[in-house]
Amino acid sequence: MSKTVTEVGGTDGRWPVAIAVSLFLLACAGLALFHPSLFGTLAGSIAVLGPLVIAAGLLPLFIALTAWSRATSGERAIGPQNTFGPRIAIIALIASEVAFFAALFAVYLRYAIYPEIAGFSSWPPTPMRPDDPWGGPLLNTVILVASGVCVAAAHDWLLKERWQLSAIGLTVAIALGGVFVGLQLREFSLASVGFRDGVYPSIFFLTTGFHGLHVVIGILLLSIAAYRVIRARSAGGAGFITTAASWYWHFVDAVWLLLFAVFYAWAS
Amino acid sequence: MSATEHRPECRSIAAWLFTTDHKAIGTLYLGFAIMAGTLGGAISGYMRLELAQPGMDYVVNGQSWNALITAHGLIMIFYMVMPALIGGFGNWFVPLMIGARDMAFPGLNSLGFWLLPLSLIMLIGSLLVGDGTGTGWSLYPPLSGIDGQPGPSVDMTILALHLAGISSVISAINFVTTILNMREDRLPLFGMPLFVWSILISSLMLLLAMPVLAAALAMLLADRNFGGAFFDPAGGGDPMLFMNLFWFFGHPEVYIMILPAFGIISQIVSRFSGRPIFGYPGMVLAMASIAALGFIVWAHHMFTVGVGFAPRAFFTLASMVIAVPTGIKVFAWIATMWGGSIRLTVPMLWALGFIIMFTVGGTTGIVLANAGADQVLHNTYYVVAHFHYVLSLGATYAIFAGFYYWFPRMTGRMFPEWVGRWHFWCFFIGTNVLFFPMHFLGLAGMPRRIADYPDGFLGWNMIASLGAVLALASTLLFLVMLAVSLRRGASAPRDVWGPAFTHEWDDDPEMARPRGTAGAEAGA
Repeated sequence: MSKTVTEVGGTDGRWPVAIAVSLFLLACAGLALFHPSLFGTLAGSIAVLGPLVIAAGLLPLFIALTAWSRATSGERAIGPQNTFGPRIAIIALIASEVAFFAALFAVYLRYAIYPEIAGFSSWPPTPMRPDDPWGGPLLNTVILVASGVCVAAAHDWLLKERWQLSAIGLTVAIALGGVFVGLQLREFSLASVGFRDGVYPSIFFLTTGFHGLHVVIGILLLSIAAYRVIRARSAGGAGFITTAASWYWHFVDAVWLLLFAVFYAWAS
Repeated sequence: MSATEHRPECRSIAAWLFTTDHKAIGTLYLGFAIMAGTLGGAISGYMRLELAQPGMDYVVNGQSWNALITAHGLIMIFYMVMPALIGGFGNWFVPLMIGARDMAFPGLNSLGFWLLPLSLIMLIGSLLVGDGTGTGWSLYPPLSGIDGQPGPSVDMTILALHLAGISSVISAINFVTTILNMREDRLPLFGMPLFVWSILISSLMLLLAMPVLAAALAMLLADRNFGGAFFDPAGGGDPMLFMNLFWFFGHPEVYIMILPAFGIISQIVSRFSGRPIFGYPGMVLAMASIAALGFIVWAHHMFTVGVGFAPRAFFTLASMVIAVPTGIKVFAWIATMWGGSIRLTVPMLWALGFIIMFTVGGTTGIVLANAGADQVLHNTYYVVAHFHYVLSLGATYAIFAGFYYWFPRMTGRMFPEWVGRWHFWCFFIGTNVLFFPMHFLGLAGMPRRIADYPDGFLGWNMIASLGAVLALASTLLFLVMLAVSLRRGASAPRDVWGPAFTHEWDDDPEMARPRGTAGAEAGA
């Protein structure tokens, strides 16, 4: 590829195409999981892999994203060299995520407020109960809020040019996030009902599951931020990723608080 | 001002593949939209062939018929109208109009584009594998559930829409950032051309509407493949909930498609009347209020499914209120022309066609907004006539208007104006002969989404199919003209349309050069 083309706009144009193809492969992996027979001779190996097919489908995406991130240190917005542009972009991204979770909450609330329309006398439907909110879920709330405080402090330290303290704050936040995900997985594995047992577990697991997925994405973003801070040994060297990751983390935090209030505290 | 730095010509396939230049990506979007539109148009031609007379002459059964209408709708919405209006013209002209060097995130721009052809491959696959997706574009369960459509087609359609949705959200983020952050010095928000406003408002709507579709589709996917019960009454689920979620996305989606069309029409009407647009702040606020109202009218798509009295009254009223800002726009276009020196160029012809035909579609929309009238008209050809008047004669006219208007700017070449006029008049007569009789068919009770009909509906259906022949023939004329003009068109001076009010026409020697074969590669 000639240099002139790949350098247009200051971005290597190959990675976006690679990411587009990876997302397509991920969709194909999903299709393989649902309908192995579509893939002819591969059907046998797909059946052996099971849900791991999705992991295999995620691999190219992960590689392409990492490569793009390493190649460009994240895409710098062109235009006025301030962080206003990236800030708008992150706010817009979070706005779209809010719309996504609003739809999930709307589904839950529709069943919770009008259970009789779906043929239930109460909500959650009688034999099903969420975990005692004042046990594990409360612990999880404390953990996630604590990690949010760590991220806020880390961001603050970064602005005050204290990159060591900032790196510590980010690391603690990442660790707390990891504990949160572990506890959630434990709650899921111990749950008395499964995803297939009706509409209540369906919406419960889908919403908490999507939230967990966002926690994992947040952990990845925080890890990139921590890596950049430590590698640059300075506040300025990390770039906008720290701010972006911290905003994203606070968003994930806020969603959990709403989840705790609506899905756990109110339901029990 | 406008882009002045060196811009490489895209001469090889790899150059087109890896480009991040907003103009090149805009050209890719337009070329893709033309190809997808040809595919979607071919499907509609096949459907009119089937409907030309009673009986099932070409389509094997109702399922494959439904698969065709689903593919036609989804292709035209997600792979023709949106890529052309937002991706194509938005990429080309938003940066030029606001004096930005490129989009804010050129790489994301490329990613947003390349997801679309891949997504279209998935969608076409769903048509070819098994029985196809026989659900209509609205994908209502239980028909779209695992019992209704057991094959892989619905899953492929859902995955295709997920990919297209990611593309939309990415490009929406890019447009919002570009417009808010990259305007040249001293260009205030309320000094932006209306086309830029329309892209900004559409992008904001995309950010809030598209994720709701993603959530609904994720639940449908979970119902189908993981034993979920979101919309399955056997597990306590409610199929009507999907309708609410779908139309919470679906109704804003129609304004996402039409607002950029409004923007283009505003630019063209103003230019060829030789006057700035009448009532500029009112035009901006009208678009903003259409966008806001668009989010609270979704249940007018569901009047016949058992919605209660009070919601029906509310959604009737709210839907009718949209006629006010829409009327403001139509009257402002008329007021712009009033006393102006109107030049009936090819783009202006298309713009006038848009204003008249969109008004017809908007008027039948007011009829359908009445919960009582809709009780009778729901799911008849009246609805088909209505939304084809706002899309096929609305959005598509705006695409052609914009395409002819900016063709000299994009290619440095001119098209033969007499062909443009023939294209317009044939398409105008063809689409009207095609769609106007559908009002009568609908009022007479002909249901939509059925491949066959009683003999009594033969007359108007035959006429509609003849109109389709004329419309498709004029589209063919357009494609031939495009292929010829891209290679042999006369060199177009920058002031080909006379004095301009917007910056995309500013003189730029680098850009005045004909794109030549490069444009043909993507366009043909």
